[in-house]
Amino acid sequence: MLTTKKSKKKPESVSIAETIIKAYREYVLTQGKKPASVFSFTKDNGMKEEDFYSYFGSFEALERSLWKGYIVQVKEKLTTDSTYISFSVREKILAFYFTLAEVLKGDRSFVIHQLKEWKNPAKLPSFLKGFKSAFEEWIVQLINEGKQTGEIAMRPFLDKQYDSVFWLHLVFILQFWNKDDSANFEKTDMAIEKSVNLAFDLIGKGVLDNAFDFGKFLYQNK
Amino acid sequence: MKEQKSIPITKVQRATKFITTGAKIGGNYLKHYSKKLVNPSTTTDQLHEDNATDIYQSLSELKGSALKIAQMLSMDKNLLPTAYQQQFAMAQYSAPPLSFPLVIRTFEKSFGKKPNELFESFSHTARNAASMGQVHQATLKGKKLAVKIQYPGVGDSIKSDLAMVKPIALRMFKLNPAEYDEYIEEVQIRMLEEADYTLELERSMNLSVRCKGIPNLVFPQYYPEFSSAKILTMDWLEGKPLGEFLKTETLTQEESTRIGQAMWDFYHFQIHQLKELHADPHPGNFIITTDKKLGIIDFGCVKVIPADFYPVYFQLLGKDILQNKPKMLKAFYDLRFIYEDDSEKDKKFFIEIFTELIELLGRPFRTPQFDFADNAYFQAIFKFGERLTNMKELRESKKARGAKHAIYINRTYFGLYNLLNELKATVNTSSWVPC
Repeated sequence: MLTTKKSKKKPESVSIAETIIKAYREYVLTQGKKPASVFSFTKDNGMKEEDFYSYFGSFEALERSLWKGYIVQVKEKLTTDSTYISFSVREKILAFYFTLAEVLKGDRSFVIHQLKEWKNPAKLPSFLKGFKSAFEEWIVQLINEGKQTGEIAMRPFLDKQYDSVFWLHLVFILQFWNKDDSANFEKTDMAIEKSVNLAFDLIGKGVLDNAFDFGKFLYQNK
Repeated sequence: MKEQKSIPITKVQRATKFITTGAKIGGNYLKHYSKKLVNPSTTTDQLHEDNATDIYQSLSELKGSALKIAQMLSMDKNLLPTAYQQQFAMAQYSAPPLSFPLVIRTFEKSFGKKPNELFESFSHTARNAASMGQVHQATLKGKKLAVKIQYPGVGDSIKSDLAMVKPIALRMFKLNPAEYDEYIEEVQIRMLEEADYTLELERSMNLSVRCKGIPNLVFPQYYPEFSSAKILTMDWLEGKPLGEFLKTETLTQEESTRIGQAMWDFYHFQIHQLKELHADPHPGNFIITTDKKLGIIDFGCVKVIPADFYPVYFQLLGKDILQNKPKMLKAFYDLRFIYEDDSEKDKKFFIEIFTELIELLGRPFRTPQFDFADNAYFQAIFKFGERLTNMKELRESKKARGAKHAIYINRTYFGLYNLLNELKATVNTSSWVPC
């Protein structure tokens, strides 16, 4: 499920990286805090310290890789699904969030624990950096696809911001899910469905464009 | 079906929706009065029409329970001017569909599998809307299936929606608060049941087996292995929903009589033999099959008639009730149409009203055959309903008149009469008598 940094390592090394991540996750969840040092962590788990460093530069790098793994996993699930390709962009985005919710469900305790560290909403915590860039890479593709199919309106200046708007949207969903206590996280499903619909109302051709067009007309003909 | 572009998101937004509707309705009254100043002969028809359109638009943008309320109120024809009816009757058909990814997600949560892993084919878009869900078509082993999928969170929103509808319903439908609370309590129980597809599956299987003997009815087979709390799978009945059918096609007299009689027998068999009934006679819940039989597809709303309530209610349908004054009075007290502690004036007033009501609504039972195509009869009911709505005494009465168990039975009868009227059926009404 996890990828290491874009390295050319042999297949068995992936599983070593996985073992390290698994041990780390367990440590954090049972101890409620990060290990004191890479030294103590590897020692407790019967590894060599340098083994750790050949995969991750630090605990932070490990967390980044772990979080990025969620997005990679979702992408894999989607692209191997035969129906996904026939979806509209709106449906692809919905499918992405639903799948992400499912993937995160399997790791909920750890995810919630990590999100607690995120106290200042304006500052992106380091563990989310890889997660964010992987998401943005994916969403930019979809936005371009949406512009081609006409689902997303082209707007000068504004449409450059769409990827960051979608990132904020993902953060919203993450926070919503974080606090969701409904059975089977049904409310998160509703939040996803409704907010994506709204988002597509806003970025699709519609009121906004007509208002702008009218404003321009008034300005030019005053 | 066109997908609705956006849905009101939060409770606050949904509440605002109702408030704007309230404001619009105020505006409609204003418009009405100013028109009346200019032209005193202006009738209230246009006003009702305007109000109905605004409420309808507001409600139809919501899902789940608010939509259901629109339907419920539309069923109670006796309480509503005709103009509302036409708008509300459409309610079932205009719910915005769920996105396909959410449909897949619901499947994965229920069965751990995607629809295309369970069925040979599965339609990408919904074929029909149901008030609490939508219907997709699937095939398995060459057989067509109808798969109903519930909107997520319907159960949760029922209570808050009902609470929000309250102020507007009181104002619009001129109900008194005591009556409203009792009405809503019963409605809430039924609606929470409707949101439970596991219960619906059980009831559908049970009632369709027990009603099998009635001629000209078709019941789909149900598939528990493809059903869950959110998904219900049954055979796809070839044909058209009744409402849609009547808009586009016509029945011969022989066919409409056959279908009408089947419907009549279906209800009365349930009422008098089973003492529990399919209490949602909405045109979307019936299918006119290709061989012109009546398909019954929705057992979401089932009312069980309590044993002690049955004789009390159905004594009203006795042939001699209008002639036998003491018997009728006893029935009125039993059913709480009048109370012992009402003033003499009130008693007289309510006895008169309810006698008229019984005469009118019980009329089909007092002849061996009844022609439901008779529009004059329905006009009389609507007129009476309109009079009731405008009666100050009725509105200002602090007591709930009528028993709560009667709500769904009344509603069923109004729905049934209405459907038979649309079918233009002449029905043998004496085949079932109270027992």
